[in-house]
Amino acid sequence: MERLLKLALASTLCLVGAVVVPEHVGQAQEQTAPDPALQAAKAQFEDAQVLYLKEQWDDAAAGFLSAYDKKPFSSFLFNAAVAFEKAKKLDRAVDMFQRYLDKDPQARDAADVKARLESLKALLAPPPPAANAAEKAPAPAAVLPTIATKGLVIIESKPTGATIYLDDKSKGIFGTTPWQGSLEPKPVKLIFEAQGFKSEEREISPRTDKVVEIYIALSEQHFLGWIEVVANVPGADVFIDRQEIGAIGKTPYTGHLKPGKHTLWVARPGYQTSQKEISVEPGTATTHTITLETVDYAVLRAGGKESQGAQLMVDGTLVCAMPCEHQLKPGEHQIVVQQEGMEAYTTKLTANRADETTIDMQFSPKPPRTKAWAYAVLSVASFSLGIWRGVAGMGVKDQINKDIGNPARLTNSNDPRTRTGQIDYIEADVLFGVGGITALLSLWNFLESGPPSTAAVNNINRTTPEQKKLSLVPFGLPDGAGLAATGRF
Amino acid sequence: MRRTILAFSALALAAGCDPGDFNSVLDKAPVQYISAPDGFGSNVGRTLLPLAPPADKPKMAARLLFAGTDKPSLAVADFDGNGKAQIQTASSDDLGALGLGADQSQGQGGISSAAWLSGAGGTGTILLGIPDFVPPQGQGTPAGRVAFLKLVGDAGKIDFESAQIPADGPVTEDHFGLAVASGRVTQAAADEAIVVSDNGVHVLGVTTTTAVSTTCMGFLPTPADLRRSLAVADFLAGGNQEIAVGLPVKGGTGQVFKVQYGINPATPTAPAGLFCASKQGVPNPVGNPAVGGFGTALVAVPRGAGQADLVVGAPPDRAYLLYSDGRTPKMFTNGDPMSEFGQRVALIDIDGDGIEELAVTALQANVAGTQKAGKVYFYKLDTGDGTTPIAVVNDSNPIANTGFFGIGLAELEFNSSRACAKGKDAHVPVVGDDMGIFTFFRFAGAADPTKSILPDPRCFAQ
Repeated sequence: MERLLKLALASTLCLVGAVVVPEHVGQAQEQTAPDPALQAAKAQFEDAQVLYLKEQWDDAAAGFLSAYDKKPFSSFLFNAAVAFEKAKKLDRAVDMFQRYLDKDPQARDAADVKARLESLKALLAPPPPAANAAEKAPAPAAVLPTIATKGLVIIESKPTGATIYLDDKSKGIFGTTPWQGSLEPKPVKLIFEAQGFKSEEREISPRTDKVVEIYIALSEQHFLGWIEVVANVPGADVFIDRQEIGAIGKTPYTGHLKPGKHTLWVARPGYQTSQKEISVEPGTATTHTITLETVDYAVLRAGGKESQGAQLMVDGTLVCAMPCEHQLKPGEHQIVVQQEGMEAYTTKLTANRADETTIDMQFSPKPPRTKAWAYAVLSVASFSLGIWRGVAGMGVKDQINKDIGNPARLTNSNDPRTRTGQIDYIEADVLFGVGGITALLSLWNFLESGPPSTAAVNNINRTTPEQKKLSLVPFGLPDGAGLAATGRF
Repeated sequence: MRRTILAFSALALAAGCDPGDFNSVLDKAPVQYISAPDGFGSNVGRTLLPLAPPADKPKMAARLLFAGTDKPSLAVADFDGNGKAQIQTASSDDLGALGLGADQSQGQGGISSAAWLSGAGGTGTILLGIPDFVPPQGQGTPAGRVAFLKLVGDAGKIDFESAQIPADGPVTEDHFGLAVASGRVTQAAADEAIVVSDNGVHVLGVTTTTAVSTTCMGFLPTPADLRRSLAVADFLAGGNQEIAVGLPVKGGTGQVFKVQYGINPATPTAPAGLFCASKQGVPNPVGNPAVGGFGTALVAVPRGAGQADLVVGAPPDRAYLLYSDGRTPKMFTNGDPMSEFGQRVALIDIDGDGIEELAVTALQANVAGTQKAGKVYFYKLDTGDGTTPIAVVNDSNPIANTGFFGIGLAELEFNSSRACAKGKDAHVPVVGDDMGIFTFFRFAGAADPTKSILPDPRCFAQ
């Protein structure tokens, strides 16, 4: 939002324009810092013009040259040449006209000036020797066209290089900024164009006795568009173009956008995110109405103290390692949370569409299995020894059986090996008994459980307006258990 | 899952480690050993008496009475069922009925020998010799006694309480009952009890429970030890049975006397007229006249035509077959004068051919490195040279010095099982040792040593 405000402010400033026009132009223009040399030249020029009008030709000419010294505009040389010509100082006039052409060979009146320069040079040339008397009679002096001083127009722009048209673009390009020269003393329309900037027009009235300065700051050509985003669910997050940078606001939303195509997302937990491609035209205002549909699943968030890495199982399937979030189909689910070294937590959860259920685990540690392992080791040892003794007894029995089957050996039923074998068997049985008992004890200790792990289960439905809610959930502590009150106000 | 499998495996293995499995394994052992009940003392297998099944229990396969010899004890093994013996032990009350109670005998005196006196209809009487019986003070003379035990118990059990003790006896004779046997030596119609004392032979009628019928005294020299052996058979082929009494003499020369009863010409019709007609000493056979052990054991060998020969044990290394017809006696020996060969002799059919072989115990024979554990040798009586046994058995787990394997010899016949008679195969050698009895249901010397001679157990279920 802040970004948009900045963007809007910048755009507004551009619209207002940074056009600086001298006081005589009378339009909102950006005021540039005055050039002292220019101001001095300008003052000198205007004084010289006054002297010119008083037909004080020499002083006027000196004034124009003084102004040129301060600011070397070619027009000042032209006016000095005219003043010298008026003062009948044709040689000085020729000199000034020549400097004028040298200074601005591309001047629009260069051809006229050249012609006048030749005329003046002719007047200054000595007459050729006369062939006869008649021929000695002086020739009548050449008649020169009327000439007058001219004013000065200085045109600058931002950016520089803007194309200047006069009155009508159909007349073609007049020049490019910065430009300085003389214009006929009549109202004229200046048209400025620069690529990427908006065209500007200005009306000016050049004068022969004044220096006219024109500075214009062209506005960038683009504009922001104005959009309004409304949804059937207020408070939904609004994203433009990039979701990863976060929402730019919530519905209902209004704001500016750059012209062009944009991607609009409107999202809210419990609803399916809506995506829409929009087009923004500069300087336009559009309203986008979004309809959010309720999601067809519930969300289960599981976490809590010491839950890092715990396994969340839904309906017997491992779904994620906590803390995590999982989507549930509506219906009843068996939730099991298992954590290494902790008692498992099991509960049933009824999930509705757009439900958001939070499970905040409070694990209870499993009792140590040291005794169970000790019993297991003892059991294995007992079974192993029992097997050893049993095998030994079987060996004795097999040998007796073998001897009984041997016709050459009259084994009698009082065979003392019987006692050995029976002792082996009894030892085996005792060891098996010990092994069995210790196995049961081991199993008992392995299966022995501590206080059950508990969880604070909080369920809200995202499609239901939030209400103040107070709930009681069971909790466990090392010294006991109780009910904890949780609320949302 | 792995723990469960391990547990089940262990349980399965544990189930396979039933110590009782050894019993079932040993049930198949070719030799079944019957341990004496607690309190039986030693020499448990010395007195072995095969019993016929009672008439009311025809399916009873075989029974064997055995008794301790150094303290009063008595038991019967019923081979009723799968061949494993069920032991029926006489309680202290039973022993009291026999006059062997602790308050009667002061704990002294065991059963020296036993004999079976058959009666009508399969019934019979067990005769027990108790030569060391010492009655309590004032209750009689310390002269030994015999006891009659009726075989009429319910369900085949021995009715120990039916014992009958003859009132006193030959009060002038010590060690009455050193050896006992049954026979018919006085032309009696029923079996008589033949009882040997220190220096004479006594013949008791079975029905006579109050007095000794007749005696033949004074022909036996004063014994250097209290060993007597006894065999009764018709050695003279005269129609009556004679008594053979073995009299080993430690450090001297053993003898065997044959006692023949006859009719007193002076009182030809009175029973009391019976007299000791002949007391013929039998000289030692040639070859080893100085053997003091001659006569340690006797067994009669029935021959055809009612005649019988006599086998005489003559430890330490011999036994002789004394032919009644005067042929040269046949000597059996194992060649080991340290083995006490000849301490016991018996006739046992070990190869299932229906002909009994001679079993001779070498009570101190070494067995595979075990010193003086005892062996029993089996010989064919009529073939062979008497030095090559057809089989030799011993305890497969011999006990040195005190094993006394072969201290008693007997033969069980399972032919008594009516439905399961196995014929000549159904003979089971029985060998006693110091602590119990070996029954050889399969025998290495048999024609088919892999074949068990145990009757099909299913027969006993009939």
